[in-house]
Amino acid sequence: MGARQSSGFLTLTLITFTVLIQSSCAADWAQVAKSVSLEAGATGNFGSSLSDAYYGSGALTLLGAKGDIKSEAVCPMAEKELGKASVNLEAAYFASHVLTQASCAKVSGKEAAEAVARQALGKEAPHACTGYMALSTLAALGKSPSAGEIKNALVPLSKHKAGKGRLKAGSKGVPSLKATACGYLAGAEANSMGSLDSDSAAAVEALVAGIPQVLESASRSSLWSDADEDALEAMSMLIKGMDETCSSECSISQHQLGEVGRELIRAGDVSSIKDAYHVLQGMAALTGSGKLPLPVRLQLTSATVRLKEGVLSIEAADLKGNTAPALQLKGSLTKGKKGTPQELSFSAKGQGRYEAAVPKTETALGTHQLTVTATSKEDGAKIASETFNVALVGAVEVPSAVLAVKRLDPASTKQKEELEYPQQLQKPLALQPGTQLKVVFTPVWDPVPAKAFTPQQAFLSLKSTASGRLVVVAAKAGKDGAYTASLTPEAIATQIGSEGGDFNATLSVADDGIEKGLVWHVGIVTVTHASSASPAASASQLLNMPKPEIHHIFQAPGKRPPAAVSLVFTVLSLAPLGYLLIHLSRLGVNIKGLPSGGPALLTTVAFHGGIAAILVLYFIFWVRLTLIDTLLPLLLLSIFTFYFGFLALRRSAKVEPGLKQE
Amino acid sequence: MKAISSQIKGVEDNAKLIVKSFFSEYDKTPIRLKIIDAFIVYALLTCATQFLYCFVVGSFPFNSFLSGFFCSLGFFTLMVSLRMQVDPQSTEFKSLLLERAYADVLLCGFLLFLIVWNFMG
Repeated sequence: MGARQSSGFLTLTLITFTVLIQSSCAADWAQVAKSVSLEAGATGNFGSSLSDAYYGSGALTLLGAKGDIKSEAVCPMAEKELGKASVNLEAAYFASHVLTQASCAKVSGKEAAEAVARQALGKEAPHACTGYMALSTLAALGKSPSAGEIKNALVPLSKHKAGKGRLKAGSKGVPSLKATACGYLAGAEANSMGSLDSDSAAAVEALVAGIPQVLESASRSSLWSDADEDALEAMSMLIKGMDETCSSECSISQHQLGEVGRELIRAGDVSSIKDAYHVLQGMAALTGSGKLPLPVRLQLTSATVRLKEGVLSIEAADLKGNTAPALQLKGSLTKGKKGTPQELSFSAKGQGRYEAAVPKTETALGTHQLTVTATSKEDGAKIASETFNVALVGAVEVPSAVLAVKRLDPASTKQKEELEYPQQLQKPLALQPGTQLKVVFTPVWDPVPAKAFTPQQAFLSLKSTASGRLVVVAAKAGKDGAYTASLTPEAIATQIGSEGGDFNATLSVADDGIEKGLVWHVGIVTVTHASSASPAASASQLLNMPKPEIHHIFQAPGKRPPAAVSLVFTVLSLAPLGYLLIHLSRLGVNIKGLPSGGPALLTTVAFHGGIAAILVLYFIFWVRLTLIDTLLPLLLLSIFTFYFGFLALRRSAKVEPGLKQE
Repeated sequence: MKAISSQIKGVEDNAKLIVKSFFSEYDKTPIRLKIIDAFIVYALLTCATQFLYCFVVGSFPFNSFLSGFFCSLGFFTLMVSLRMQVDPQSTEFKSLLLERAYADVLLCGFLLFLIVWNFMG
């Protein structure tokens, strides 16, 4: 295949390349060419990998730079692979194509490659790609397969799934698409190499008939948009297979092909030589032979549109960059995920340009999602669709601002100035301890008639004229659309320390819907701190100064009762203890039950001593120890008390078994 | 009027009789239970005193009040549990040794006091 097609591809690719440069994709394709050049390396052997050498020489051929293939680097690799004792079909396929693409003068190992291909075709191919690779290897070597070998290669094609048009594969999705693509390519290869028997011809025909379903289901399951390396390969092979198999009767949706083309262009920023090859191969197939309907691309003329003018402009061109035939365009504009779509009606302006007016009164400033669908004027068939992000921008103004310095305690206004944009303060405002600077302003857009605007960012900033340090405070939105920014000397101190002096005050309003951010220098504010008697420290001094001491604010102690009341309640609290002691003595409680002597007395005393020691430890814990410091001695005392308690209580239980009945 | 005063006198006599019979019956209670009862009353009185203080003066410092109040309440609960376990008429804890019940109360008491003293501040 390679020898016969490379010249065709060269021409097609040169056209493609030129077209793509014309269609503002120059950067992408330059990137592809750069990637190919990088992957080739200094020696041009593509990292000594045969598969990469295959993709690299193929990519250079597609880029029209066949002369750049370094045959002295890639030919020995192919010959070496074919010289091995055991060669698999994939290696034979890569090697045979490298030999052809690089026009290797001294060719050895061709026989080995042919033997491998014929061995694969000697029995029914297990997979469509096996059949295709074997046929393609023979074609690259300039050999012809027998009728039986062709039949064996096309056996997997009869296993196609009628409903989806795809060949069955081990797993769904991309592998199935790749197998289907191999089926198309094998059919095309077989057709060009010899005559097919009736069964094989029927199988190829049935498979090709399923092309619309394949494109439809692949598009529906978003296989294109999730294009990874394998999906890219499947996509490229599928388009190439369609291009080689289809004749004029192939009914393929232009819109679906356009989606494939879009994904291929998106994949232009390739990460490997394999990707570069597949992108180039896919684009060559899409734009080359003319058998496939040429996809149409929709492009937004400008991603930023002034809402006052309110015109969205779309350009429709095919992948070769030619003006697309007259289309009917419909669109919708949505702000945010939950926004209500606004229908747009596009009218043709000639030269493939279409314009739609944005309803100004109902549309807000900011980034919108524009979805455009192009249909054929003749039969209403969908030709292309695209979604763009478009920023609708407008002029935002702050007509006036009120700057006031207010005393906090008691609340009263000390100084107040009302400015009109772009006026500045005649004399500085003095911001002293115990006062607050308050700036109130209302951003509006499209001033005639003025509408309140809610920007994403509205700030008041103070920049020190001495050190250049900046204090920024966000303005808060009120219910009436007015924004208020407040600053006190304390708030300034928390940001830059106690630096006083003159500060340039600036109002800033920004939003992605504002054509140009608004910056209004309102004048000078002189800041005085409570402890700013000493001259203002320099920026480096401030940086190295110790941080202000943190003063914790505790809850104010509650009111204590008079001493007499406390005394009365102390007595009252102790009274139950008195009652207890008196009552126990009345009951005749005594310590006569203690053992009279010996180890029993010792254990009993130790047990009670342990209890007392724990209680004393609790008291010390309350007075001075921390919980962690207390736990270790508590553990030791607990072990001691437990041990002697166990001995004492066991003895008690043995001596007085009937005690409970007393 | 005479009838009312005689009725009141009857109620008084009945109350006296009830109290008298209660104490005469209580006298038969084992001494060990009486000692526990004394501790129960002690815990209740301490609890009531602290509640009265909170009611009359205030709960500041609140953590101290809470820990004192719940310490008394916890001790009361432990004592009631102990009484139930050592009561000779109790069938539920008949097989339980007195020493074992005492050891249980001791352990729980230590735990209660540690938590209370930690929280008291």
